[in-house]
Amino acid sequence: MTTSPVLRGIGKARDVPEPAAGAALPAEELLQRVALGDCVAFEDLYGTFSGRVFGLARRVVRNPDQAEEVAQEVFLEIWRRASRFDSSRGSATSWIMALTHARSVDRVRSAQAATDRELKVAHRSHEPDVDSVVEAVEARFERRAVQKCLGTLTELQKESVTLAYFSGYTYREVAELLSTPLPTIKTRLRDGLIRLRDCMGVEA
Amino acid sequence: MTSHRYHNAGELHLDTGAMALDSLGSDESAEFTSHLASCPTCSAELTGFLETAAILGSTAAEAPPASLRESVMSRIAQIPQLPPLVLGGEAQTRPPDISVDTAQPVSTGHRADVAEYPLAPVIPLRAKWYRRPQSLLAAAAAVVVIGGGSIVIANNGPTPVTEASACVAAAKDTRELTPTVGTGGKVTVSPTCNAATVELPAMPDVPSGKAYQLWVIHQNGATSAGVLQKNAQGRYTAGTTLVHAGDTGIGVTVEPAGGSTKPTTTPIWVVPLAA
Repeated sequence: MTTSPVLRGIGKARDVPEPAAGAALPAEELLQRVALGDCVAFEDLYGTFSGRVFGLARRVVRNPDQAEEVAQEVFLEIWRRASRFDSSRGSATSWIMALTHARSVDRVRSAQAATDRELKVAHRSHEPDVDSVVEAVEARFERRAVQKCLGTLTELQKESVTLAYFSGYTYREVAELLSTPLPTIKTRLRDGLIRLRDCMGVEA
Repeated sequence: MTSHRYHNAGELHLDTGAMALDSLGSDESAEFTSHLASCPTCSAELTGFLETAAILGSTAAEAPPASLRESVMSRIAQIPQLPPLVLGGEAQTRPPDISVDTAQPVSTGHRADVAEYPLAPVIPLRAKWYRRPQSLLAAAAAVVVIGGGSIVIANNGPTPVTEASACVAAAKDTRELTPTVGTGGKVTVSPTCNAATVELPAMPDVPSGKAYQLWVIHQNGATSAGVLQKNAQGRYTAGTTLVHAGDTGIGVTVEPAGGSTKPTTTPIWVVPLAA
């Protein structure tokens, strides 16, 4: 039996964009299934997010072994807490990445690390190794859009956001590192995020 | 540090950026979290910032070692999942903002639950009744403060309602609250139980095709606590419902039979969750 070219065309168009493995369902839906104990959905979710979770953990904690531990902790927590995800309060990506960042930061701020870091901060000269941090971050930007958006920040905003987010410093530490008053740092972080958000087109 | 002592609301609003980046200390993030309950603008901004940070963080993606997949997959089989928060025997996804589950080790601060702050999704142009009353919101913030944060910290996880009922009955920190809309009835709230026992006034039979529905009101709207049923004595009862930090009141509306997902009418009975 023959189909009209038009219909065939439509069928083709529909069939062609077979989603890549792991991207079959939106992450929100995967999370809902994970909440029901669906291991297959969890594997899909892992496939979708493992690079981002591990990568962010690695960026923040530096040590690959520790990053792996953090990433494992994050995925187990996703498994355990999936039922508590509420899509009306933000995207799955936001939920997972926030969890990843929080766990990574917990790791770098664990008791011993915190002591070391305080000493480091206290003994640091006024020439922090900020450039290399920013550079490393920029070098890895896979997404031109993000890079472009980072370009809309002032150098000071970019520095502060990068130190806080990717190096996991508290704003107090950032203030110390940059010899800048605390309220100024808070304002910079917020203004920087506003610019990024608006540039990325995130709905406020 | 003492900075949090001279924080006013305007200064707290500036914390959204540092908060989204996990960059506040634990004291300040706790303070900011309780501020969120009364600041929908801050919640909305934080939501947007967290989405933004997630995109920023995604740029760090790199291939994880294969051992990660193996260890994760082999472990999930042994890890029990948290059930959805359950209300009245009927599973529903309640806002997960405040529940801190028992199994979770207390970590270094509130960032651990960063993904679960009460975030406002969208602020409607014209506020619904359950979003409107600022005084109610302020009062609810007061509850959190008066409770010394115990609503946030008290950790009951997914308390089954039957347990919640017993918990409230036995609790030493209960407060009895009376309605500001409608007359009669009361709500007995226990911060340590994260629960409130609702005693309704005598209410007339609901018109056919309609139902009375109980709501837990919070800054992002109202969450159904179920359609009211009559007991053997022909009286509408509401039992015990779970409440959390950020919840600002308990209310009843008349809805189409079977209930609604959001209140569609003006409430006939409201008890603000404040002393």
